[in-house]
Amino acid sequence: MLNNSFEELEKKYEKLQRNKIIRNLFVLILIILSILTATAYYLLKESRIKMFYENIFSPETNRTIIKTLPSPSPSLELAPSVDTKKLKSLIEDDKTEKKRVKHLPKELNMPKEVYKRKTAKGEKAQKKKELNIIEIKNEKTLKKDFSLYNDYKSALSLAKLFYEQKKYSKAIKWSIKASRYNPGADEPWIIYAKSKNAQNQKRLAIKALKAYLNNHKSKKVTALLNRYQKSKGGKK
Amino acid sequence: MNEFDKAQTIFYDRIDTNDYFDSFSAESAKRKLFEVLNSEDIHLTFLIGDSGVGKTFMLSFIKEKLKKRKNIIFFKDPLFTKEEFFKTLIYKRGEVNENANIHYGELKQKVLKLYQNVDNAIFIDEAQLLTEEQLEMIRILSDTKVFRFVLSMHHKERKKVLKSEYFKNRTHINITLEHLADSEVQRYIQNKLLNNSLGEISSLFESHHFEMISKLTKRNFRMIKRFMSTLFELLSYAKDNNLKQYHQINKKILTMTAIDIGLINVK
Repeated sequence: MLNNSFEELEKKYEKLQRNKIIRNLFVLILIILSILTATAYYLLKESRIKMFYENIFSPETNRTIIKTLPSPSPSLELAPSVDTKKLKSLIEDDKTEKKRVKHLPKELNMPKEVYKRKTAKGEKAQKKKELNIIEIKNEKTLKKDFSLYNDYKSALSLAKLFYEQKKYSKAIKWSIKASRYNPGADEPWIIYAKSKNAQNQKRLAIKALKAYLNNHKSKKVTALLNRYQKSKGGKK
Repeated sequence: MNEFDKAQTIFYDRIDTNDYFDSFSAESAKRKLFEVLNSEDIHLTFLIGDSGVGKTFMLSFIKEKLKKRKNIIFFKDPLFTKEEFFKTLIYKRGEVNENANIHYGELKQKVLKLYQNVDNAIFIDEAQLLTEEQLEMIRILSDTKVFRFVLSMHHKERKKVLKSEYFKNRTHINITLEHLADSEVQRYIQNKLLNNSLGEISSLFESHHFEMISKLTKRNFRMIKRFMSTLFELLSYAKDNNLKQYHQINKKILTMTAIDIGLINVK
């Protein structure tokens, strides 16, 4: 004896087939989506890696990021309080400088006319966006490192990164932090001075380098100081 | 009555010892059972297999084959008391127990005396249902070396009986009955149809149909019989109602069969 009528069985069969088609479609869509996601992820990763390497292997970066950071020499270390105080005084100078700039007549800060863009707007914006992604990633990674290790190396790496990115204020901030972890090291001072110089504050850059040389010896610092002093007539 | 109706009836689930199918597993189990029943040393044997694999059929078949040489008592289930068990054994020897209030101990002595020199075997099906008391009784009787017991039970519940204190340290033999092999499903169906002069129906099947039946029924003997019986009922209906698309065996009618007997669940 049948449990269902023939017609019922036919209907159930049709339903089963429909369910199978829906299930297969669902699986197919899932597979396609997975493939697309994987491809997109792979392509994005590839482009990011490519851009990252393009970024770090540029001539500017080679000088800073690729170089292994020298470990601080204990013989050069001084009491942290001495150098921090000096750096603080430098920050004070920096602040007064900023205030002075603020008081400059407005016309000096404003461009007199708006120039047309030479490159395609979309292209440039896209490029900037892509670059930003890498920068954010680097910055994020390095900041994560710093929050993890809280050490000289990661603070210095951040200072170098910001200097390369021409974010001089941040480079100054991180170089000061780095110098707190290793007061004897010359590299934070060099970045500080270079950043100040890049901000058209050569006077403060020279002052900082001299302050460092009062307590330490460093060929690099001396060389940089000489270079700045020779060209002192140019930038302020 | 068309030929599909006839095909339907030959696959009804009933025990006919003439329907013995010589699958590899059945042949192996049969040979071992014959050996055990002819042995003087083995008094306890377990026939183990999944539900629907053909354990009951095998015991019936063995009983039928040995009925002239051995006194075989077959209990289809263990739903009996000790007294009922002994009274059955006495009755099977052609004696009637006149005293209704006879004590268990006396019944036992009487049974042992009756079967002392009789080549016998007691088959108990569904042995997983045996109670502790019954297990104890079987242990005592098998220890007397007067009786040979063959207990058949489901594969899943074998542990309960085999690991019980009564049998753990007793010499016993386990014989396992397996499902049919894939190729045996086709041979079984075709043999059955051809033996019943239904060669024309047998020729309707192609190898992929057998593969599908094998997969759906999981090669379970009882399920194959049920499947075939239902399939032929559907084909018979289709023929009577002149539904031309079902004049041949196809995936649709096989799936409909599986749906009807619950092998495929449609939500």
